[in-house]
Amino acid sequence: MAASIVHRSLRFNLPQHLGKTCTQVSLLSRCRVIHVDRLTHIQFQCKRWLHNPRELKKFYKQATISTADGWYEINLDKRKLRTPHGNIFKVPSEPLALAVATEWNSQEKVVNRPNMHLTALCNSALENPLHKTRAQLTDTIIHFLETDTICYRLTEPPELEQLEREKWDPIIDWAAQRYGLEITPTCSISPPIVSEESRNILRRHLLSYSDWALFGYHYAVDTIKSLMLVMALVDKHIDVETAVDLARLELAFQTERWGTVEWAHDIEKLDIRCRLSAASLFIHWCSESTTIKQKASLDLI
Amino acid sequence: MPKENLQDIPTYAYLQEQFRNFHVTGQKICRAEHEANHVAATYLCYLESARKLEELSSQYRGRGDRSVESSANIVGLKMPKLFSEDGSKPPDQ
Repeated sequence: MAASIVHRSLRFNLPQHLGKTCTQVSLLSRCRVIHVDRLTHIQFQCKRWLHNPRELKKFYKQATISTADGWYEINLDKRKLRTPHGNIFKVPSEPLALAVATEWNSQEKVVNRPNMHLTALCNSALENPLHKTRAQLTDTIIHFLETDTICYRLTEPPELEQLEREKWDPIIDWAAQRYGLEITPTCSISPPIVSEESRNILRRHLLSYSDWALFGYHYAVDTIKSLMLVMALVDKHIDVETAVDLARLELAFQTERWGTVEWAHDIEKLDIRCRLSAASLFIHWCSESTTIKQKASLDLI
Repeated sequence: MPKENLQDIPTYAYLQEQFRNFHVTGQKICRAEHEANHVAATYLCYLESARKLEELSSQYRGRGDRSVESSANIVGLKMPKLFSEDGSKPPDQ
């Protein structure tokens, strides 16, 4: 794989002395027209790597954070991390920056970008590639209520119906008590009954989040396919594992009877947990403002 | 296994500081400590699920698919020029 390693060094402007076939490869990369009938093994590797952005080798040793202008930026060795559009990557909160740096630091030989959800969330909040406004995001999130997982109940088999009532009703009751939401679950394909006042309450509540937090909220609701569970999670009423289990209640019920398929069920569960916890952290770190009041106290920490 | 001292990692120092700050003394009701625990548990869940996901994925992934580029090459086609991270802009922009 020497050829592919050299290409990566070229791509990120590392010293040219790495790799023996440097000059040969540098000619190749400047050559824009590649004739198919001259395919050699090295050319093949070159093209596979240049146009396959998934295999990004870890080209840095350490990721650290730095402040600039009230924002926090990530440095990969000496280079600044950039967004997909090429702008400087910056976040408004220190713990978020630290978590992103930890994400980059925990990559081993290959940078596995699809799994780096915090980085991806920050990028989409920074760039807003689909140009979503706050109103649009809020409307999309509220629209999810009509297809909220915990509002759709099954009547067959009776154990499942009982289980759903046991596990999902407390969330609806909690939402009713905390926010005054009136939502009636449905047993058929028609949407659940949501009062107009509930929608207004939800809209006001969602609009109270910052722009960045709204992106995280939208991502969380989309991942878990339920607005109520995300509300309970963001309020720290339930934790991530519980939220994921509640969202996958019917699936868990079936797999308990019929068995699980590790490469499908477990991977899916871990993936949802990963995304939801990333979204939850993102929302928290983009909305919190901590003030620590030190009392004159006799106890020593 | 990481070889560096745990104290040197800035993330760890930050976490320690956070927990010290939110350790409550002499208070009856404080949401901050519960929140700090929740955030810590969420972060743990994130790291753990990311690690396990990668382990399982690599176990079941196999050699993966051919890239689009190499599939196109089999029939003699070329890919259009895309945005590349090394800073060189495509000529039509």
